[in-house]
Amino acid sequence: MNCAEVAERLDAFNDGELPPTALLDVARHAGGCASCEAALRALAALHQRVAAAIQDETDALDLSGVWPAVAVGVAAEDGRRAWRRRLRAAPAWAASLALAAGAVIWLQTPAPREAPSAVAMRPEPARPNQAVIDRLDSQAARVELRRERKHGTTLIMVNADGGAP
Amino acid sequence: MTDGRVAMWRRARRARGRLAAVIGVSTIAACTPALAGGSVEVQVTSVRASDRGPSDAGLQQFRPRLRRLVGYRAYRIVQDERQDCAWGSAAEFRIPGGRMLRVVPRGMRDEAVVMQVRLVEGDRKLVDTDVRLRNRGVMLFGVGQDPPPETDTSHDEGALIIMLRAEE
Repeated sequence: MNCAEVAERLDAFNDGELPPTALLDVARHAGGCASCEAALRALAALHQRVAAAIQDETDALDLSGVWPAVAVGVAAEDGRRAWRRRLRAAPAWAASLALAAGAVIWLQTPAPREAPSAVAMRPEPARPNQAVIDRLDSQAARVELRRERKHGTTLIMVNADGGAP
Repeated sequence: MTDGRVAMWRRARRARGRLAAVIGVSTIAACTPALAGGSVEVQVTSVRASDRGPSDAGLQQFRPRLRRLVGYRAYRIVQDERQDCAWGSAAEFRIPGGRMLRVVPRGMRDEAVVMQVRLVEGDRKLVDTDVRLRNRGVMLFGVGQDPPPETDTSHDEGALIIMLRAEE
C-alpha cells in the first residue's frame, strides 16, 4: 500500500470502518511513513476537537422543558385514544343500557288486569228506547234535548211561543 | 280438447256467471231497503200533559218516564195513529194544534231505524231532525210554552207530548 492509497483510506481508518486486512495495511504503512503518520495524527486530533466541540454544545443545551411538553402531548394523545375506545364501545354499552332499561320497565309494568267481572267487559246493552240524534234543526224559540237514563228515552222539547201547546 | 270437456267448461262458466249475478242482486237488495221491499210501522201517539187530572191507564208504563222527562203529573192520550211506511217514503201524521209530524224512514242501521222526522206548525219547522231510533223503541217530542211569570199562579196550560215509535 502506498501513501496515495493510505490517504484515500485515512477517514475510514480513523473511524474504524475499514476491513481488518485494510486496517492492518494502513497501520503498517503509517508506522513506516512519517508523513502518513502525521496525517493520521492530525486527523485524529481534528476528530477529537470536533467531538469535544459537539459535547460542549450538547452539554450547553437546556432539555429540562422538553420532557414535560412531551408528557403533556402524550397525555393528550392517551386521552383522545381513550375517548375513541369509549366511542367505539358506545353502541355496545348503549344497547346494553337500553336493554336493561327495557327489562326494568317491562318487569315494573303491571300486567294488564283481568276484567273484574264478565259484566264489565260486556258491551253496554243497547237501551230499548235509545235514539241517536244525527242532526237537529228548529225554528222554534227554544229547543231542549232531554234524555232519560234508565230506558234511554230521548225528548226533544220545543216551545210554541205562547200558542196552545 | 275434446267436445265433452268444452261443454263442461262452458257449463261451469255459465254457472259462475249466474252465481255472480245472484250475489250482486242480493247485495244490492240487502243494502237498499227500498229495493228489498218491506216497510216499517210507525206509531205516533199524542199525549196531553198537565198538572191536574187523571192519567190514562194505557200510559201507566210510561208515566214515570214522562214525569222524569217532562215533569207534569197527569198524562192523557188525545190521538193515536199507526202507519206502515215504505222505506224512503214520507208518512204524515196529524198532531193536535194544527201541527203535522212528517216521518221518512230511510233504512235500518245497527238494529236502529234511521229516519227523518219533521214537526211543522204552519210554515214553521218546530223540529227537523235525523234520528236513529232503536227498533221498537220510543222517542218523544214535546211542545210546551214559555214559562209563566212567577206571579202567575193560575198557569196550567200543560204541554203536548208526541210519542214516536218505529218497528221494522
